[in-house]
Amino acid sequence: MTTGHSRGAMKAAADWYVRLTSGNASQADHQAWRQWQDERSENADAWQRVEAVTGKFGSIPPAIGMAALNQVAAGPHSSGRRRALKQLGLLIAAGAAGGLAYRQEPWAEVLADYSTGIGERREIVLADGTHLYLNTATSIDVSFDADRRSIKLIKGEVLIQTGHEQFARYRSFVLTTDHGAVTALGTRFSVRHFDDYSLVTVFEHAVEIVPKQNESARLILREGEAMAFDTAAMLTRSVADPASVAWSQGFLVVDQMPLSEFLAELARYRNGILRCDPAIAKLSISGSFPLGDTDAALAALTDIFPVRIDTFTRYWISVIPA
Amino acid sequence: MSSEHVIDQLAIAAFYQAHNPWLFGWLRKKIGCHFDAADLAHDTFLRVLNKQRDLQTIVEPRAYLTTVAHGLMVNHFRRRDLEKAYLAELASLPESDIPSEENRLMVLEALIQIDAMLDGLQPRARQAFLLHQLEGLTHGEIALRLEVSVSSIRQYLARAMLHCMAVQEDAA
Repeated sequence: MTTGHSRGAMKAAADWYVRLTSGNASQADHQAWRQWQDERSENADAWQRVEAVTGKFGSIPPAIGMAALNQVAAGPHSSGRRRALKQLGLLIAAGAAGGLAYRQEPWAEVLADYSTGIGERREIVLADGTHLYLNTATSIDVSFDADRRSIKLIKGEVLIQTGHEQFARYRSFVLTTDHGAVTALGTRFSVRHFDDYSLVTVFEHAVEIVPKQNESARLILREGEAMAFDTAAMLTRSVADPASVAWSQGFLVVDQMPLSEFLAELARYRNGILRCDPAIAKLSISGSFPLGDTDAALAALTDIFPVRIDTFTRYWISVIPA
Repeated sequence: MSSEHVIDQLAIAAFYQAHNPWLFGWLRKKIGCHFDAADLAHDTFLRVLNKQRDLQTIVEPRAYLTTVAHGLMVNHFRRRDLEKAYLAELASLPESDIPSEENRLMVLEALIQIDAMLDGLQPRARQAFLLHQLEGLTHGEIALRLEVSVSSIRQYLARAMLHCMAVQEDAA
């Protein structure tokens, strides 16, 4: 561990190294150097390090060593590498052909997984500028390489704002689920994974949907449209509802939604069971509910409707008629 | 064998089984060589296991593994390029001057160490330092070569030496 003293000693040692190799170091200089070493053990230790460094050069024939080290240094230097590794963009090879494989290319590669727990929401910005918003209980794999940008939605829901490719090379952007592939032909869309189907909503430009087992059923979905699809076919088309992604801003926004459906949505952000008594299931609810505090949302229900919240346990809550 | 130890072994085996296949595939695509990829995947796991006592604390295993693997891969390619550059230089020597295999290996190791030691040093300080340590040029000669003042050279050399000393310390 470096203490203040040993840091100072290292600096002094480096300075002595320069002074003594200058070609005009005098007897007095050498004397002073020896005295400096004797002053404290940190000094002698520091000088040992200098010797360890210079010792590494001993066995190398000068011209050859110089040439080899310079050839390799010709590429961009790797101090940038540490910076790049900090974000999850990785520097990639120009191609499997090898060569100077660590050279920085203009497009960054990412190979990563991201997930959220129940009630957790997350925003991720990837190296190409793509914004990914992950909703509750979501799991994705990201795989960007030199040829394409891929996201696999394993479960849950994402809102995607694709980043613009900065460089001449355009890589396609594809999101896959169990049910098929959604290729972005533009910028802003969301995909939600259900057990039997996936739901795509397009907010800007367009996407192409290809069901997994039936490529001929492919369809281009445009701005303002939503489509549910499964492995074999398109299922139901509807109008895009911007409120459906209000979660990305921290809210559950509904307009005349049946209470049972509302509670099913709210339950996605909570651990445990949230039941709705059939007698009140069809009550219609509208409003904007902060997802950061779903207990408050439930409590608010009692102000709007003639209902009661029955908390059997923390993890078993029923909404029943008052 | 304590039960804790057994659990560790199981966790490690599960981790390896879950991640080695895709990591190996990814590395092989990048490196183009089956054997090197297997070695690098192996080294990656070793490094991760040495650092992480508890694999459960790794929040995003793919991202973490690829970051570690990438670092090792960069070293791998760097070493290979140094070796190629060194051999290319040797090729230009007359037959009689070519050192023995044992010597070549020693020199190559030294080159790799020096290259690693100088990593992160700005180019001019690196150049000045190499001209001094390898070619034995004086401060004045280096100043002429790099077209800067002698006092600049002195600063470069001090900076380079300090940098190398720090690297040595970290490695220790």
